[in-house]
Amino acid sequence: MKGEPKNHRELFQKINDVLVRRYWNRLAWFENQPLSSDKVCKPVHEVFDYVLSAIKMGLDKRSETAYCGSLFLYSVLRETQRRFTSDVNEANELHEVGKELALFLWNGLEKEFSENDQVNLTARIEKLKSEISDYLWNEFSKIRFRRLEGQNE
Amino acid sequence: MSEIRRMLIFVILLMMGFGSFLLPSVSAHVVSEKDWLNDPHDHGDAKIVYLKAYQFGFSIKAIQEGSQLEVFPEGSEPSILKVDKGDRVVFRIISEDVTHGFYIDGYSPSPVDQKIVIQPGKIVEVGPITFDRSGKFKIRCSVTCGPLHPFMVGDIRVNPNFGYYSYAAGSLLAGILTLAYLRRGPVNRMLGISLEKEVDLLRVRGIGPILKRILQWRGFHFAVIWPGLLIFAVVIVAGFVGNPVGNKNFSIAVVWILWFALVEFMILFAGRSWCTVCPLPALGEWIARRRLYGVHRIRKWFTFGLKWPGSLNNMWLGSLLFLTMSLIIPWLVTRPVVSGLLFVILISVGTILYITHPPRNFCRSICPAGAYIGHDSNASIYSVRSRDKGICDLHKAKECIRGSPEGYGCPWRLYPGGHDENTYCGQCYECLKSCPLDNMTVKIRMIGKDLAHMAVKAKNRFDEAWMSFIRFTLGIFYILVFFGPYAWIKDWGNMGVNFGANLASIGLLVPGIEGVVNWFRWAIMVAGVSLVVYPAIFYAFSWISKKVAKAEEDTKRIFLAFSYGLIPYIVFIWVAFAVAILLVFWVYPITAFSDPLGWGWNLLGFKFKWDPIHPQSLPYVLSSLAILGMALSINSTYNIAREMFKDHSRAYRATSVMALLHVVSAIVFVWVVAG
Repeated sequence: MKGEPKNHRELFQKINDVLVRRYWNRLAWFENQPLSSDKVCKPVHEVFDYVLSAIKMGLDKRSETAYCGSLFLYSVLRETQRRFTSDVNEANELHEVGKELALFLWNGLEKEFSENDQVNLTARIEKLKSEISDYLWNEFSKIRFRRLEGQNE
Repeated sequence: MSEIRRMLIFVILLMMGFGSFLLPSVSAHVVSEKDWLNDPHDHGDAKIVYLKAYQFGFSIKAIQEGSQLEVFPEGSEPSILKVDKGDRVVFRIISEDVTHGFYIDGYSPSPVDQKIVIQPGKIVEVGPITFDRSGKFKIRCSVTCGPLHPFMVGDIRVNPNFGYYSYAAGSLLAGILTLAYLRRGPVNRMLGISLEKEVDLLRVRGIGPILKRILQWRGFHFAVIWPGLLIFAVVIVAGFVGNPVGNKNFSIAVVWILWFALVEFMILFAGRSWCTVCPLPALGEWIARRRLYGVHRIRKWFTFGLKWPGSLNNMWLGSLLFLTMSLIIPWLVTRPVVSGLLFVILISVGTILYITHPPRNFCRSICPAGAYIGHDSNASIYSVRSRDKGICDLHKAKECIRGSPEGYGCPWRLYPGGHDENTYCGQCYECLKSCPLDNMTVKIRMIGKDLAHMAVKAKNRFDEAWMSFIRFTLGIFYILVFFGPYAWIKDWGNMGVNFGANLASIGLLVPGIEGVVNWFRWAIMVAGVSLVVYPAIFYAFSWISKKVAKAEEDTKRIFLAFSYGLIPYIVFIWVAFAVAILLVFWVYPITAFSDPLGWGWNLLGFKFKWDPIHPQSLPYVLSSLAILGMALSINSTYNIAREMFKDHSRAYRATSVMALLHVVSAIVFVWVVAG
């Protein structure tokens, strides 16, 4: 795929960039409500859960990873209290990132699944999930901190 | 003083509803059977018509004028009584088989007030009636007498039939006026209205947002399907265990009168909206999706997922099934058990095919109703389209095809963002739900907007062309068969014996040998006209068009393209048929809801009785609709020709040739309904 990330760090960075632009910027930064890692990483978590279920059910990789793109997009729309977006670039970006994430996960997990190693599969997915969640939460916290600082000034 | 008293009594009687004596004098009394032909009566200057009622027609046996008696030993066929305006006529009627009724459009009083009943073995004398209005009037049976009772009709032609001459001339005039309008070379317009104009229904203030919420609500499809499924269940039960007389049975009255007529209006005003509510594939869809209305998050489908054969990916099967159903239509629409069986087969096939070959291949390629509804709805004012095709092109994910968490991908295997015809869009609104860009909407536009570009790109779409020919010819055939005076056609189609009483065949599925032979004659006649004769005439006219226009395109291409021009004509002819059905038979579906099995119940307490709504105006209403369809068709043909030849002069000349065929067809139609 053109522009496909070469390693997982690059992919994480790409997800981070898109989330900043398309998701976190729309979250209520300065409201007093607490923002959890779960809320911040919701679209990513939804893709994780879906990919795991889809692999276990033996669904088609190509169509399901494409579907994950839509899942990612709709998750962002839902979390930002929207039903639609009028920005076709936003739709394309979110879809692309969601799809790449799903493809990355699928490629990483299908080996375990083909070996029927359920324990290893679940452990791997939990590890990956916490790895990306931590990364995104850290990035989000940094941005939030900078914004709050800017607001106070 | 006595004059004033008489006036007062008159007014009081009128106010009390005794004004019916102002209607043409119709009286009925019973005289002995031997008086019928052997003892001609003297009614002064009135003609005496000896009329025999039988299943399912009226046959004139003799006409007495003064002392002269003209006898038709075999009965008149077709059943047309010709009288002059001002003639006074007495009808002496006898029933050959079962109890019948007698009603003349526009001359008889309402059958609710005064029902004339003709019992076997007795003679009923009606009249004298003064035929003081010229035109064509139907004699109808007003007592349910068997399966084809609603279509038991005869004609009375009161000469001079100015109505017919006017409408025949009107057809010609409308053709000439349309051509005169087209001579100015209007681009992309239909009878003066721009085809570019569209209304985005979901953005209309007030109703738009509400409609959008409804259509995007996931439960919408289920909410409109389950009542239909319930009705289908009643249709099947009534078909198998209900009254075998068609118009008393829910399966006939609701499906073949109410549904059949309403679908034609839906096609014109709401496109394929029937397919939105159709329950035939619903069971299969629910099983396959494992959901009644939600989107299945983990998209494991309960299907075999077999691929639909490419050779069946067209309208041939649906068209031919529609024709086949039409060949048994006199049988189908009058025998509840046949209808019940048909729906069991359709639901089973629809369900099984959804599971074996998902998703809606049954609807796309097999369903006979889906085929004609899809084909005709290209002339609809209603369409589901993208707001901006440019956005759809830029959008990479194409959720309208693949599906999204909010909606399934198009189950009709279309690319909704790019499609520009109604043929295979089942209006399930999944694209409205799944599009994250809110770029899908419902558009209202002028009739025939899509036809020109559809026609020009239609290479080798013989299936759609033949669907046009089948629908067009059958539209006229249906009116001729069901509302015409030709009893032999009804008998052939009914698998009955010519001129015979079909008492024994009521509710039976096995006809006699003679009935089968007659049916084969009927089938050859109907299929021959729709599959061979009319297409051959159309091809000949297309060839002449090519010559007259000096066009470089080959005749096949012109022939195929011009067949799309017929679609508005088809829609209006079928709407005319629907109007005729509804105005005359409106009471049957209503009472069927109160007594679905025809067992004499009245669950809803209805007190409606058969009483046609202004039936004497039907010939003119129907003719007007056909003429309007003709004008739209000529204009569509011009738009197609203009798009194809890219030249006004050639397009105009080619259209003029095809207009001749359309005008002749309109005159034939007017002759059938008013002549």
